[in-house]
Amino acid sequence: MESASLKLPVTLDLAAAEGFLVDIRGRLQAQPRLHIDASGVETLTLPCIQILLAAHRSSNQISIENPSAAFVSAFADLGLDSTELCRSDADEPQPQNPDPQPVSNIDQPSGPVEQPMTKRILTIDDSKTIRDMLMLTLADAGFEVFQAVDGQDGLDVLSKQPVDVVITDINMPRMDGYEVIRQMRSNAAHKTIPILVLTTESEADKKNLAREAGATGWMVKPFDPDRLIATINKVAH
Amino acid sequence: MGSLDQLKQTFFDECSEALQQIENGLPDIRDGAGSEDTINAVFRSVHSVKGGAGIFGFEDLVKFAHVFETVLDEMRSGKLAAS
Repeated sequence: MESASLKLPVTLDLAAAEGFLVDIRGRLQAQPRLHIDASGVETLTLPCIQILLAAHRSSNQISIENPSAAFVSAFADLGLDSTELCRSDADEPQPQNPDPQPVSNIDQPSGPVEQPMTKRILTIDDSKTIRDMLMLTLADAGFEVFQAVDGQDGLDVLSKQPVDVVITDINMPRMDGYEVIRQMRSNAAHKTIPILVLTTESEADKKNLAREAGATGWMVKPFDPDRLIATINKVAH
Repeated sequence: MGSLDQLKQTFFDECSEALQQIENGLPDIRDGAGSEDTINAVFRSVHSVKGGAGIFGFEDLVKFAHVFETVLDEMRSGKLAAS
């Protein structure tokens, strides 16, 4: 299989993240395997780490070569091991002469090979700290993450981007989480999408209000990353 | 700067904005000139501080913000008047 290569720029900061995401996506669409030279990286920020992890874990067809000390250090600061990205299926030796198919299987119908789909998560929260923390946690777990800054923005994102699970805060400007849930449940296109409420609130009456509106689950901040991921996997269709 | 440090810096920047909102809104609420929107804006600011503080384990700040938030919630529901 053919592969492409990409040399990372010296600085991959917040401003560079959006362009970097577009670049990675474009290259992976053009060539399924991508070798990335990280030797010159001096600054690597959180969003770009998330993009690299999501790309690697969704396709396992990118590999990092010659990572600089700054690149390795940026991962280590998060408790992550960058060597995970230095291995990929692209590096695995392919058998030259695969075992012949057993005769008994030759006439068996062979359906399309199902690829595991990356689950897409929409997070709706007016706090950038929470949005970034969720992005870090979920991208690291292999999810594709979309973000919205309030309820109205969340519905706007949903109208353009299909997702598998929505995680929403309650207290937000313009449109609160309850209204997001009500509007989603009254829209045929979004009616069955699992909605997890993630908020600092823990009062029973507020939980009931969310449940009556159609929320799937309720989690209290600060969230436990492992529990959040397990819950998402449990509710995602 | 590490990514967790960046996240913490994001939180501190958000706190500065939230404190500005709170400082702008509280005098109006005290003087009886604060609308429902003013109380809601101050509530959301305190709520954001509480949510972010929980991530980093700033327990004293979480407790303080929770009391602040509870008072504002009671004002929102008309159970408590500003003074």
